[in-house]
Amino acid sequence: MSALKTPALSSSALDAHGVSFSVRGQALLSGVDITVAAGSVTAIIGPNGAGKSTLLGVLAGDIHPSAGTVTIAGQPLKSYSVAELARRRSVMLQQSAVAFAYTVREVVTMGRAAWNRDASLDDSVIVDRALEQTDSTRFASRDVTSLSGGEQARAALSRVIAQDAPIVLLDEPTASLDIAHQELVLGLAGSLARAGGAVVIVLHDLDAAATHADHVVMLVDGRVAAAGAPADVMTSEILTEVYGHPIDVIEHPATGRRLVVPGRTRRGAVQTL
Amino acid sequence: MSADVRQTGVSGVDAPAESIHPRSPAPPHHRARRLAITVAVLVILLAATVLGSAAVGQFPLTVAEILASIGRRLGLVSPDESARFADGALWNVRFPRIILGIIVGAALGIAGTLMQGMFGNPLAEPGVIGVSAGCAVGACSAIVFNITWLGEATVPVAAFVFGLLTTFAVYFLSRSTGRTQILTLVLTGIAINAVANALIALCVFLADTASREQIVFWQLGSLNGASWVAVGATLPFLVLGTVGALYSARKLDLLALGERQARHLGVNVERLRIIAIICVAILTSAAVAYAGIIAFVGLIIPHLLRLIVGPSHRVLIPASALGGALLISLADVLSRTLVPFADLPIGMFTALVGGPVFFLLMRRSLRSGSGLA
Repeated sequence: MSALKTPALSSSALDAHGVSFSVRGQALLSGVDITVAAGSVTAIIGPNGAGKSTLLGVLAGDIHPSAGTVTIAGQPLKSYSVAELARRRSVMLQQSAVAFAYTVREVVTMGRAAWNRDASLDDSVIVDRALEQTDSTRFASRDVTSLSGGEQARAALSRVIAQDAPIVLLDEPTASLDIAHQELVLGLAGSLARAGGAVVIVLHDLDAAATHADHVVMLVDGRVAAAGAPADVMTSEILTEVYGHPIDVIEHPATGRRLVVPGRTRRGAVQTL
Repeated sequence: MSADVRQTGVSGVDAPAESIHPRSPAPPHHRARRLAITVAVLVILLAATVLGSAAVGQFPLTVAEILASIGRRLGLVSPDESARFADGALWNVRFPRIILGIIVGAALGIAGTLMQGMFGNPLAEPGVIGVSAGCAVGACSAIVFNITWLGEATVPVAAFVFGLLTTFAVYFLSRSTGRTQILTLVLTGIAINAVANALIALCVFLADTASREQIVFWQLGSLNGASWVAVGATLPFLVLGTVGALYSARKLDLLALGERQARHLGVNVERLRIIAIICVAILTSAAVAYAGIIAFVGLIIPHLLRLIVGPSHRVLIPASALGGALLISLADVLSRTLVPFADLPIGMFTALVGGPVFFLLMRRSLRSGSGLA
């Protein structure tokens, strides 16, 4: 029996401490610490194979770490039942294909599964709003298997929003979206956070991470290489070293917003360091 | 004026976009109406088939005679000595056979729906992937070795135990990295069917002439062995399996999103999997125990009905039960009447239709690239 558990600070919704995970001797995560505060957007960035999706899987409870602990509201993840967990965190994975031809509305309504059935009257309102927020109302009655990749991703995100959990984990939610919907989705993540949610996003788009995240965790080879405010983590020196490619961080001439710009030569030739 | 131009412009853009994405087979807002119509049509067709099946045979009866006989049984009509022969044909031969057919069809329809939901794959079916053959091994062993520990329930229980083992084996052998590929599933089915058929062959080899004949005919799938005892022994299995299937219906819908996604939404996937496997084994053994291996019913019926009423398991399970019952009842009428004084194996009819359907489905799935390794 451990010492009396003091409730975690209310601002810390999700914590991972010393998390390691390896598959057949290959360490995918080693000693990762991450704290996700309620009311903030945390971006997980890093090169391919850095362990971003694995970390998200650990935070979601899909992957049991070989060492370390994950806690939600100060309680170990393992102490929650599957249904309790579903009321506390929602997850959007990169893969959002559906096996059978359900309508988009049916899929989004599935997001309500963990909540009590007697709230069914509110369910349709919540589902309507979730569809609206991702600009999916237009194809709500369509068969989900007939959608384009971007539309499928928006339907999946609507489902995640309809789940109405305080912790939201998103694995590259913008990967298949056009620029307008990328901004819509990232803005949505921000508004979920402002409403008190704890949002974690795995992102490849560094510029989007610099703009939309309150907190950035940079993973390299399964370790946290840097963590903190975007201004501290996403500097030209750190990014250039981590990605092995020249990257500039400049200020937008009009707005002063920080821009992350990869170095590119004219004819598409690869620059080497 | 400019607003007008903009409006036509917008609708001009919208119209082709609509035609690029073809509507799903069942326009969703019509699904509720379609469901009502489908259920009504299935019930009417089933009732008509049942009456027709009771009427035709070596001793033809009119619908009025059938209704009068039912009335006599229920005590609504006064007894009639001259109708003793008709009563005998109906109550000893035709009615048990019709009811067993309904039980078998409903069980296979639901078992197919459950398997397809569990694998997220329209090709999963108890006959195709070897669960029926597994059940048959259990039933054969009970017949050949004259095992009667459980009285009349021995054959279905033996079928259930072997069916359960086979379903678990198929499930765990055909899955890699949490997903089931079509190719793996079909190849696993071939392997399981080969082993099961070898064991059935062993049973046939060991059996005496009487049980050998029984096994061979029964292996082709037939309602010839129907009796009230068979009805009584399989009905509880159907009820149990149906209750379990309906209990799992909503969770199977969530499973269509993927295993991890279902878990994120609060589904205990491991428990769902075990309940579904047990239900499939219960239902398949109910179908196999007395009627033998009738393949492809669990493939065609759920697939067809999913196109009509949509994929939601809460409606697909009862609809597939009705559809399966109708298909078996129809096939049985044909098998009894197509050749005079002969009782053709019913499995022959379902396989004649099911084989090509299976092939077309597989080609389509392979072409669309879903599920190929």
